[in-house]
Amino acid sequence: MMPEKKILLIDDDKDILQVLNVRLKSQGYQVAAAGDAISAISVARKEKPDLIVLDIGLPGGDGFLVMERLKSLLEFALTPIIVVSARDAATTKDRALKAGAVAYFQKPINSRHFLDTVQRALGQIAVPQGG
Amino acid sequence: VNPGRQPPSRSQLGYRSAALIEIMLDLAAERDSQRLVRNFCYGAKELINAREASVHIVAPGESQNHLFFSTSTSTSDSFSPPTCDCGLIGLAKQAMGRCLRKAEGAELGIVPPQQAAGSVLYVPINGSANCFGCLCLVEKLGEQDFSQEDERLISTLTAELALVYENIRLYKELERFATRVALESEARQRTQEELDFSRQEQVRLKDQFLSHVSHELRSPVMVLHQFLEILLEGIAGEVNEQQRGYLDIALRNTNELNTMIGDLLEATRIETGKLRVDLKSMSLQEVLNEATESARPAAEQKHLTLSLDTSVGLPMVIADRSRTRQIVTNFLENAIKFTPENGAITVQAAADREDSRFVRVEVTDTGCGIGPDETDKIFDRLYQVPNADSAARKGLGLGLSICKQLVTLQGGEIQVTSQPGAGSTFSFTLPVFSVASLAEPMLGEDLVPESIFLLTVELCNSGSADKNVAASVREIIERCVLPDLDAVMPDTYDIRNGQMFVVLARADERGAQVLARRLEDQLKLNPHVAALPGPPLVRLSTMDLSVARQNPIFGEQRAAVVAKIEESLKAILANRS
Repeated sequence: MMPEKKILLIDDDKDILQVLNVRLKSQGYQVAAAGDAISAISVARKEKPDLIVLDIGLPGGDGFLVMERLKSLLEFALTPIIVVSARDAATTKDRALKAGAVAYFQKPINSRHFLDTVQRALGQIAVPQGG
Repeated sequence: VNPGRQPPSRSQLGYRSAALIEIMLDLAAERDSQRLVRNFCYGAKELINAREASVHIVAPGESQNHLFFSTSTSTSDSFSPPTCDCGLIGLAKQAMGRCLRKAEGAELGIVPPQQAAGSVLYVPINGSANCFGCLCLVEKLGEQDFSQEDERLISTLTAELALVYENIRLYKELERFATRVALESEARQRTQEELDFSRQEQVRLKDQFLSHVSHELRSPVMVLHQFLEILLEGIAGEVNEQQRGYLDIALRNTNELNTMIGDLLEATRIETGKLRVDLKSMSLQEVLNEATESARPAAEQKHLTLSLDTSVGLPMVIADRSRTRQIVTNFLENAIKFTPENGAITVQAAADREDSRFVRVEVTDTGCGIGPDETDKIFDRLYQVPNADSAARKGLGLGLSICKQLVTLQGGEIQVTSQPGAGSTFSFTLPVFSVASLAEPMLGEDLVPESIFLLTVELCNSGSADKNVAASVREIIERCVLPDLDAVMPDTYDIRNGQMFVVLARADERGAQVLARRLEDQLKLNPHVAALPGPPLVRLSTMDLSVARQNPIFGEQRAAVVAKIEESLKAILANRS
């Protein structure tokens, strides 16, 4: 049986964390959260998420730094990252995609599109489980 | 008349006239009043052959400014200026412009210089308006008294002095005036610069503030929006009809708030010149479909007929896809807002009747219409239609001004025509796509058909005719393409179960190979592509156009594409020569 996919949310806004938590749990995902750039890596190591939802404006270093560090670690090299940020897609989307994000969402997000993207990213990147 | 005095000989008179002219010429060249007076004194002394000469000037209009000069080397105590009860002006008035002898002066109460034991001649210095000074000659050397010829000569010289003196004064005044004007204008300019700077600074701060505020608003709006949706979807428990109704209203308002935040940011970007469009070749059909369909629920709620009518074979345009959709959506929202129930809204697109190089998109409604006075102003920032009911006035009044800017940035034109009471038509144009316009930026002077390479990127394995993967590959291609070196052909061509993208590249030494490598690297990095199973998904091939057309491995459809490109390039070449 396929275990539930785990998603790590990294955002400094507690309300955003909560609302995404409700959203994703209602879809049957497990959810973990980190509130700043510094704890993000250690939480990621502990939780071993299948997908990461990352904000850009974070205390302790921005989301790009987090992405760079995650991508440099072998265990997260293939973990899809979806960026959700208040910054303009026009200025930040390209940079985020070039840094290795699979998708960029400007807040406020379109839920259906967001959930589709999460599902697709998890489905397509899945390492075949149990052999 | 002095008895016993010889009249001057002609030669002596000639000599003195020459001397007078020489002194006058010297004086005329003088630009400094003190030096002028000094030279005048010595000149007068020499010309008249007096023992000493002194000048006393009260500068006109400046009674404090006395100028005194004497050729005498003794101290001023012993050769003070002549004094007079009635002052110099009085003296001149008394003298009626004439020269005065010592005795005449004494009668008028003039006290001669202390040293003046012998003859004395007082010569008034008459300016254009009044007398402003006096020359005092002391002792005619070798003679009893000054002659009439002396008087004539010295009067001429003194008139010259007065003239030059006044000229210098006027010149100085002019100079002072010019300096003052220059200083004032400099000060004004400085003030203006300071004002401009502070205004710019204010605008910058305002924009920064607006931008910051708008960004900060996005997160709370997202939280509101998401929780409302969660409630509406019943994720947090059952919702009854009344509650659902209220939540719907809250959600609609949250969406409106979000639109306003977006408009604020756009307006800020326009102000700071940061509004950008990303021009690509695209099909209008899709964009119009999307915009119309997403406006349909709101239209149906008001029982409005919403129809889309596009002409067959609508040409592709060069435009920013999301911006174009934004414009059409804005037009539609306005049309829905201002059209009463049971009205009709039509979206049309066709080649522009006036200029076939453009496609015109029109949104026509049967709403209240716009008066002729307002059609000019309606695209202005913050403009609100007067007398509109309060529901229609909702919003910031930025939408249409943003649309205008977006249309202009895309090289088109925005327009409105209206009949009050009958409805309005808002329209804009977009330039039609042509391979020529696509290839234009990368063409140099050395263009020959062989200088353009054709690069195809094929998704050739996909039993997974996955649209998302194709879209993601396309996005990568578009990002890798440099606007002035390479160009992406608009269509993706379905080749059986795969897809093909065509990229044009300049064939310099490395040309298309460099582009190919750039693409390959990016494609490998993309997790979608990397994770796909099966044989290589992407095949890159490069060839010049003439080879491409004759190449048997090119299918019929592809050969047609190549022929189309080649034809366009030939047309460009023909236009150039």
